[in-house]
Amino acid sequence: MASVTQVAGTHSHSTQSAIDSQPQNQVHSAFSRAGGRGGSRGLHGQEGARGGNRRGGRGNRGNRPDGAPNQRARRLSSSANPSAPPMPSPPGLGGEGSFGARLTKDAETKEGQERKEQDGTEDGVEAEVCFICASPVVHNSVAPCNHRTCHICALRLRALYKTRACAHCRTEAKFVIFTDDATKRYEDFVEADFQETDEVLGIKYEQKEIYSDTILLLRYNCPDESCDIACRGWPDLHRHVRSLHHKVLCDLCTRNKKVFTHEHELFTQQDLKKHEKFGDDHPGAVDQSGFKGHPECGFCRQRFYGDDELYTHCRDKHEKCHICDRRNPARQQQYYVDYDSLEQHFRKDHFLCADQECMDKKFVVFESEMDLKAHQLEAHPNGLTKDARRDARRVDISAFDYRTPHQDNRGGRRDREGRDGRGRGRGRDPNTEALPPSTAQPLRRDELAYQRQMAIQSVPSATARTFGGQLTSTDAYAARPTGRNQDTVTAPSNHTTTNSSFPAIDNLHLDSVTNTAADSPQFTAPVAPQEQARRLQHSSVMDRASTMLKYDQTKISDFRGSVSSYRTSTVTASQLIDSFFPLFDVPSADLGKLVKELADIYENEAKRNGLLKAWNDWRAINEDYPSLPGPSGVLPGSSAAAAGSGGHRVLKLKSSTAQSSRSAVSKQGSWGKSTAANPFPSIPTSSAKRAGAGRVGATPWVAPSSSSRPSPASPRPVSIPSPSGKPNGSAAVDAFPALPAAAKPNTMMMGLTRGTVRWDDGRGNNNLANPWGAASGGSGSTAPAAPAADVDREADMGRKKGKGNKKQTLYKFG
Amino acid sequence: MATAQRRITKEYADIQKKPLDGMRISLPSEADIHQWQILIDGPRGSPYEGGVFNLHLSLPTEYPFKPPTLSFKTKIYHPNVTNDDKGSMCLGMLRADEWKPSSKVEAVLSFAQGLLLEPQPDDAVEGGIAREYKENKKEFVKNAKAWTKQYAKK
Repeated sequence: MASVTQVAGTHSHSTQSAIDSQPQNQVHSAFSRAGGRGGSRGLHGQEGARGGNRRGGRGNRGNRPDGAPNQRARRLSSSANPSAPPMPSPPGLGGEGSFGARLTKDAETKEGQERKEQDGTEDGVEAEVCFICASPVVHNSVAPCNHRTCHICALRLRALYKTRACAHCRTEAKFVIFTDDATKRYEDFVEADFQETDEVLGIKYEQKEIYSDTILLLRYNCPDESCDIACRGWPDLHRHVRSLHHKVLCDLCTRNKKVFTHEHELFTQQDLKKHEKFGDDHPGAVDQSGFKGHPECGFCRQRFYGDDELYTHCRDKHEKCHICDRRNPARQQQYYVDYDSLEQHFRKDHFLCADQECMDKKFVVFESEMDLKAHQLEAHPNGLTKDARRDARRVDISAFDYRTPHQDNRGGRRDREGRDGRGRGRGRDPNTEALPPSTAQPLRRDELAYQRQMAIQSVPSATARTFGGQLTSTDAYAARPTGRNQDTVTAPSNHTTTNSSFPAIDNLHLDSVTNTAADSPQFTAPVAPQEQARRLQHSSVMDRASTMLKYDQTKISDFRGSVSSYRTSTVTASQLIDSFFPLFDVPSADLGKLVKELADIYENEAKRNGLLKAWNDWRAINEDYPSLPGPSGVLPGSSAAAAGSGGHRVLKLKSSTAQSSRSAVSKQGSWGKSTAANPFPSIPTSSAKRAGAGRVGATPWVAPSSSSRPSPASPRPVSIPSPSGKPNGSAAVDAFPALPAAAKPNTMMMGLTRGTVRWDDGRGNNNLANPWGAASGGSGSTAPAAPAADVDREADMGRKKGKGNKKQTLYKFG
Repeated sequence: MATAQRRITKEYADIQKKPLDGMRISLPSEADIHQWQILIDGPRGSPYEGGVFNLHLSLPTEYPFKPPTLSFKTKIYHPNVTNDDKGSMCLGMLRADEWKPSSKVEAVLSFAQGLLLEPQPDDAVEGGIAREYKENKKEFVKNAKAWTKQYAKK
């Protein structure tokens, strides 16, 4: 028994990993023996198998000399078989009496022969075949449910598949009995019947012989048919087959395939490759396996045992788009290599929340803009975080237009809809659509609040305004202007103001104003020369200015001073405008209104026009350059007014940028300088000078921009640079017009938005900008108009506005 | 795996020896015994009567320890068959956790045939069709017949 115990110990080890301790070489013999044994019982059909009944079987297995008659009887009386057939005598059959002997090859051979003989004698009878594997039964495995299989199938299930369920009825069994008694029922066995017990596998062996056969199966037997080596473990086996047989094992198979060691296949290196790639199905061959190769992960270039393993890998290591999956559950599984690439997809095809927190959280993405908006209202009532705003520039949010949906509904933005439709995304071909420059200008909360207030307060266009104001912060508007420019161009018709840039903010007002801007001559007419009228206007202007200045007396007086300085020609129009920026922390659209009203006050047409022009120039520069041409045609190149829509967007974006830059950067300082310095005309130059290269660049754009689409493109280039740094570099780039083609609007937008420089540039532009002036006037006006429009258009802006919009939107909502 | 090979071969031989009513089984490729083609006649009395359905049975390398998969190559209006290009059939016994190595292809096919006669809407893969089957059987029969006529013509 001692020896037995030892063996048992070994066995358990072996089951778990390697049977390394057994020096014997008999693996083969065991199998051959198995093969040779002609089990005599044929189980026909499940039923037969189930009750443990055997039909036509001959109960006799070589080792049970005394069994035959009894077995038969038992078989017939399948139920309780009280007959306690004499316990099978220990395997004492010919020569194999001792365990030790069995281990040797000789013993096996003997056994095999013996069996064969027996088989021969019983040839006439149908051999007993395992119901599961259709192979002759060597030893029986009996489960508590009295279902039988061959011991190999039982061992396979227990040791390889790790299941203790009965192959027939799935009943779990802690122990099964391996026996050579073909009919004895499970409950008829008593502990004393078992020579060996394997607690790990849950097998009780009625005979040592069976035990040793079982152990043999579990060893690291060399798969080579002519080799009877049993190795100590996988490494040992790998080494063995390589050195001795010059072959290899498939690593994936050895790790995953649920077969006994000797059942694995040996490959040459070439065959292994074929095996991995195509499988080793041998059409028509007897040993065809139906195996089609190990699937490979396209990202990792790593192969997996099967589809399930590959699936698990992809699930754990790669990413899937849940939105696409939900939309089309039937489609083939599509993965992204990592979250970054998935995020790009989100940006491109869905609506990703740009908030930094959400970006960190990941997967904050929505199927529709509405959903995104809802999320933003709920989760970011105060707008995006600073970080998000900052990042917004970098990221191509342009693709996302948060507002778009909304706006679309509102205003005539058909053009845009078509364009922005769904796919705003970074990935789009820039040339395809005009980029909607992201308008977003991140405002501080206080700024936002203020602007909002302003918007509400701003009288005239109360209705329109309110809405706009609420929706977007002033900044937002500013941002939009850019967009608007384009819009204007495109959809001028929609807004009365088409040409007028400024008024935009108050939609209604804008129109008039805008028009004015567009046609400076016209302006004159509207102006009331009379003193009284002038006074009224004056007071109205002051009211507005006061509101915008939050009734800050100091600022108000500064404002007055500036205005009178201009009147007295102490300062130029552009300087005047530059001086406003430090004072007014409001969206450019709002400022535009003020400027327009202010312009009306001046009886001197030259002054009035000069101021408007300066404003338009500024606007043109700051809010997206050329694109703005929205003024349609105003700009030189702008002939393509239609294209303009794109330009609008750009403008808006830029403007937004500008504003942001303003606030961000030294609003004041820069301005002053910029004004003076900026010779817009030479855009390039200006860009160089200005920190806000972006803006500068923008100027050039103006012209191009007029052709709506092109301009958008141009903006992109600019924006791109800006994202990284700030606008400076971009300015140079901008130079220009050429840009139009360029396209990543979003990026550009972002950059632009932020760049303080731009503002400066803008100013400079104003001065220089005359070209713009005319054009810009238009554009400028557009821009203003844009604000109002922006709100509506935001949606349109879609991509262009991208981040800016988003932000704005957020704010507004907030 | 020799086990699968032997078992499948045996089952195929048995089934050819004793064919199932209303079914004709063949191997699309003599070279691959893991892929079976089955032509099932729409059972009499079912809305599928008169049609012939082409099914594909795929036996895994680990058969019988892993279940085979059964799919309809012929479009069929049935709550238990997916209405896509896969035509996967939902059979409880084919699920990995319910599969028994003792189950034979013959049983699987018989079960599939039974499903044609008696769909199991509670175990459906096509919810809409299942609902229709339960709530508006007339309509279901009409649709199933129409599809049979359209797709499963002899």
